[in-house]
Amino acid sequence: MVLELIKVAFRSLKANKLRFILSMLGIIIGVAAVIAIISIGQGASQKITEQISALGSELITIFPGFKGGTRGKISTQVTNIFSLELAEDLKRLSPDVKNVTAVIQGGAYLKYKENNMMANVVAITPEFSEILNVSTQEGRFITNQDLDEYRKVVVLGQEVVNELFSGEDPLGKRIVVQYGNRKFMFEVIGVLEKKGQMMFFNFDNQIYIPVTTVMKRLTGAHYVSQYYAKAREGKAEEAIKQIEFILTKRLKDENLFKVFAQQQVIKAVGQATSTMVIMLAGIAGISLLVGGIGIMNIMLVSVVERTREIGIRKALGAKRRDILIQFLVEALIISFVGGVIGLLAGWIISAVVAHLNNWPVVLSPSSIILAVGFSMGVGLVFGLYPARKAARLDPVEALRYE
Amino acid sequence: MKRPLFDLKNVKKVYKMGDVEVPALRGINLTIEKGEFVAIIGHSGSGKSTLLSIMGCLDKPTEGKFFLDGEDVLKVSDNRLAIIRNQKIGFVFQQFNLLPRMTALENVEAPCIYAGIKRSERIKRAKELLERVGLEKERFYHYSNQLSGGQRQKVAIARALMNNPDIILADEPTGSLDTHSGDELMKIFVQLNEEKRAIILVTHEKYIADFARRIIHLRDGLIEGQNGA
Ligand SMILES: Nc1ncnc2c1ncn2[C@@H]1O[C@H](COP(=O)(O)OP(=O)(O)OP(=O)(O)O)[C@@H](O)[C@H]1O
Ligand SMILES: [Mg+2]
Repeated sequence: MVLELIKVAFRSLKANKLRFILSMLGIIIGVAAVIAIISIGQGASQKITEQISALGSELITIFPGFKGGTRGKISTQVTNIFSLELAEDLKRLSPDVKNVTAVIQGGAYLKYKENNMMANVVAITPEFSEILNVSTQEGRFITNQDLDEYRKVVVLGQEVVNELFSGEDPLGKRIVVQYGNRKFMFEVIGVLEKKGQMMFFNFDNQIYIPVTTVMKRLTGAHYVSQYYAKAREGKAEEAIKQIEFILTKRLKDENLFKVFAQQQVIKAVGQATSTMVIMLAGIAGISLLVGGIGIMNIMLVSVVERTREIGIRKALGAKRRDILIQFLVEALIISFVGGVIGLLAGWIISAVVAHLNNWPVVLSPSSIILAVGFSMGVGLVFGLYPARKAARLDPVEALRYE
Repeated sequence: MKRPLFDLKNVKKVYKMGDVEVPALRGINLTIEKGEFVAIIGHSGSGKSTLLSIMGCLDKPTEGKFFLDGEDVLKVSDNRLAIIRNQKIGFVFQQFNLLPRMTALENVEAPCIYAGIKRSERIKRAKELLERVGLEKERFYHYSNQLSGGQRQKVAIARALMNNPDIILADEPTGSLDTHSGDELMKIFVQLNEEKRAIILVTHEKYIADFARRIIHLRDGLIEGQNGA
């Protein structure tokens, strides 16, 4: 019985294909938008999370805090607290901190033969390699001996090598590093393996030099700009507490530093993206509702047009329920087929975007079920009114309809 | 006690058009027995179609009583009315009223779909009936708009017979046909009546009414007279 009514519904949809397609359009666009947004959002956040996790979830970043800023004064970043000795102490005194590296970030103008470029300079200690999971592809990394002797040696990122050396072997070559307005000759001792973009910086377009070389030879600074620490496996939270405890004791002011765990960053990024995705999907969901109104519109026209057919069917013995089901099934077919086409369209869009951005295509079964289910729900809700209208038509009046 | 098939007592029907009331039936008293062949004749606007719709449970009177086969059909549910129309009554209309986008065979099948009869049985019955009313086999799969008026009316009759009803209600069934097709159709009606089916037929034309054994004259919503019976 219901099967027969489904057949009848299909028949009348087939009879007016253009209208069928037009009535699906709203749903197609709505579902495609929802699917694309959710899938792109999930793909992006998965990629970001992957990047952050690649740095290791035991990574802890320690920044200087700000001081002043009360009573109308402009707050300034504290620069005179992070010494090399303090980094040593953090490592020595916190049982769950495995390693600490002190870092100074800056920019420099590089020159080799006639090639020149701007690059980030990261002044580091040897522990940097272990803490941030980077190693050299050729040559060697910065060693303690480099630090002890304030050597003017440099490890280059891949992009820097490509730009500066255009095919030449960089090892052992001397490049000009203009730091501030002073020029220094540095010897290339290593090339970093390709790492790509990780969160906030690109390892490949930076150069790495011993931190003591910057402090003693380049600027004369006594302090570094930040620390990176690595906690023991699974001990990130404990390590953070220990670091905060030690720093508070030493500096006597907990506002002078900030400690970030990588996990917090992962969580924050995850939350931010999912909030964003939910919001956008919600907006796209509204277009699904608009699609539902489109279905209702076209179904109402169809009911009026087929008034006579409804009258005939009632004369032949169709119950209200039979007519209701026939029209409801029509609305459901429209929304289901529209939902599936929208799903495919959304999937294609997100696959293209994922391909361009080099992240995975994420299309979770739950979002598929949600999108198709929601669109069918929309079809049901907006198909109900026209179907009821059809079912309640008076047989005589319907038969009289021209 | 023998109960009549149709039993109408003081049936009135008033159409309201805004403030104006149009009385279509003004007090019909009528009984029709099982197996009768009755023609209803009258001028245009005399209320023939209105009466037939009420008798076919498509419409309800504004006033009066109506028993169909002893059942007080003015008091039953919508669903029950649908079942009565489906099981007890076959309709034939002047405008054929075939279902659009459906073949002759599918049209004939339709009443059985609502009766919940399975497909193979439906198709068997539909083919038998189409053969019986004399539709050529090669027309079975033609869509309704590919058939002539006479062919369409044959399909409509086959459809009316699908659930083997005791009553055939026909509203000017020959009105859109030429005399030849009309005569052919009337022969089928006579045959159906010989099978003990009651036939109530509305017409304008005297010679069509003469096929019936009883003729009821309507005038301005009232029965003006009867002959036969
Ligand atoms: N839906 C309606 N609304 C208002 N008036 C109606 C309606 N249906 C019928 N009438 C009126 O009721 C009266 C009877 O109509 P009915 O259709 O029964 O006449 P009829 O005898 O079948 O006429 P015909 O031979 O032209 O078919 C007419 O005056 C008609 O105008
Ligand atoms: Mg009439």
